[in-house]
Amino acid sequence: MKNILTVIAIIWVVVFTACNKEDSNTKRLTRHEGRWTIDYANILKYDSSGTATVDSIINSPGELVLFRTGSFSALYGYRQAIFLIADSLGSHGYYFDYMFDGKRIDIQNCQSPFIINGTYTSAIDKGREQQWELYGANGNTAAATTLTGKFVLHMVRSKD
Amino acid sequence: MKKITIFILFLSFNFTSKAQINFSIGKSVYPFTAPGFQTFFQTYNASFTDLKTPFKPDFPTAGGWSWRAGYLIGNHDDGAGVYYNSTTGVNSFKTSNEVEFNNGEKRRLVLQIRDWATDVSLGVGSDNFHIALNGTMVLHSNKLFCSYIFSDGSESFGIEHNLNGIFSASRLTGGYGAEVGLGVKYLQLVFRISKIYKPFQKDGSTYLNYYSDLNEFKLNASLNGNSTYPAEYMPADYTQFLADQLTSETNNNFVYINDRGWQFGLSLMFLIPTNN
Repeated sequence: MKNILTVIAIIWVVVFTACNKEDSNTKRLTRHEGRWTIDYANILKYDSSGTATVDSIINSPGELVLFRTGSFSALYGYRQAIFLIADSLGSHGYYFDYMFDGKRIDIQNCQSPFIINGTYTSAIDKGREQQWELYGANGNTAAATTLTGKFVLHMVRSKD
Repeated sequence: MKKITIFILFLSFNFTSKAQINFSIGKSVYPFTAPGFQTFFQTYNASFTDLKTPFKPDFPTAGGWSWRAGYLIGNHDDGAGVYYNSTTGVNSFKTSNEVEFNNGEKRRLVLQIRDWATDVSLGVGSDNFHIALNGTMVLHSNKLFCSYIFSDGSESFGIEHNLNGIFSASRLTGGYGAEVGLGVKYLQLVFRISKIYKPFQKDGSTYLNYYSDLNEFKLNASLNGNSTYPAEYMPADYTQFLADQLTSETNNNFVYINDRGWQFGLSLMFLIPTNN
């Protein structure tokens, strides 16, 4: 009887997992929640030959605090977050909404002077390190376009 | 009469057989055809004149792994007898296809296939051999990762290219197959072939889902200006999609989840006896 219950439990777990695949994105968000220090932001611009004409690195522009809580705008799975910036006038926090599906991160409604709104691609996705990249290209039809710009946010998990 | 026979047959397992919990893990391959993607690859190749390497006509054979756990009745110490195994598990596959432009940039499609399956196998077997037919209930769940790779190697899922994104589709269906196992008392090497059905609605028409943007990500991004022209589905005819995206959508120009083929698996099955 005990063995039969064990088998039923295994089957239930597998079926339950299968039926909740969309929740895997929520699990990812849970793993990423917490404080992340942006150790640098890199702004790159390219000319038509692919040569970088601008390569600017901004060290420690701020910190992201990602919450599990759903956002106020409640757009299909968006979560709440705060962008913390420290400057000569003190520390400021800017609320924003974000969504992460494993490969893409969309940041909305951030009113900070250091603009981070946009749809990023996750280039590095580790427990203590992340890199989000935003690209610009001279076209939108998937023809052979060229890269015109790149904005990189490299983050490490903050030490509490 | 038939029902009574089956009932007696199943009841007899408990008196004549050993019951064993079993786990198996192994490698699988899935050579399949996917008509919607074939159309996409063909029309995409035809849409550009600056291709260095075009898309292959279809996705190459997908490879992956499988695992399952189940409850087996029927291995006999003194010769062959009825073999009955009920298992639940997953077959996972991955394959990709890409096109390269003359300037070194690429469009890449990676297809991830997950079959969450519950099987019933019925056949004959002994302690070191079995052969059986099986029926399956499957949640066939696919994800398509569509990215653009720039010449510096950066892989983008962003909105600067309309086709970028993660598209998902799934369907609940059934399947059938066969398996052969050879081994020693508590370990068997199992070769298995299986195929899933094309699902049908009650009225007889084919019911299939199409690949749509995961969690409506691009639509959401567009609501705040982060995307202006979101492709919320994977188009089959790329020429039509390029000409007019709106018309393309109203014409159901979608890639449907209709991959078809036999799956082949080779796995190790570990048996744990539970009674005598």
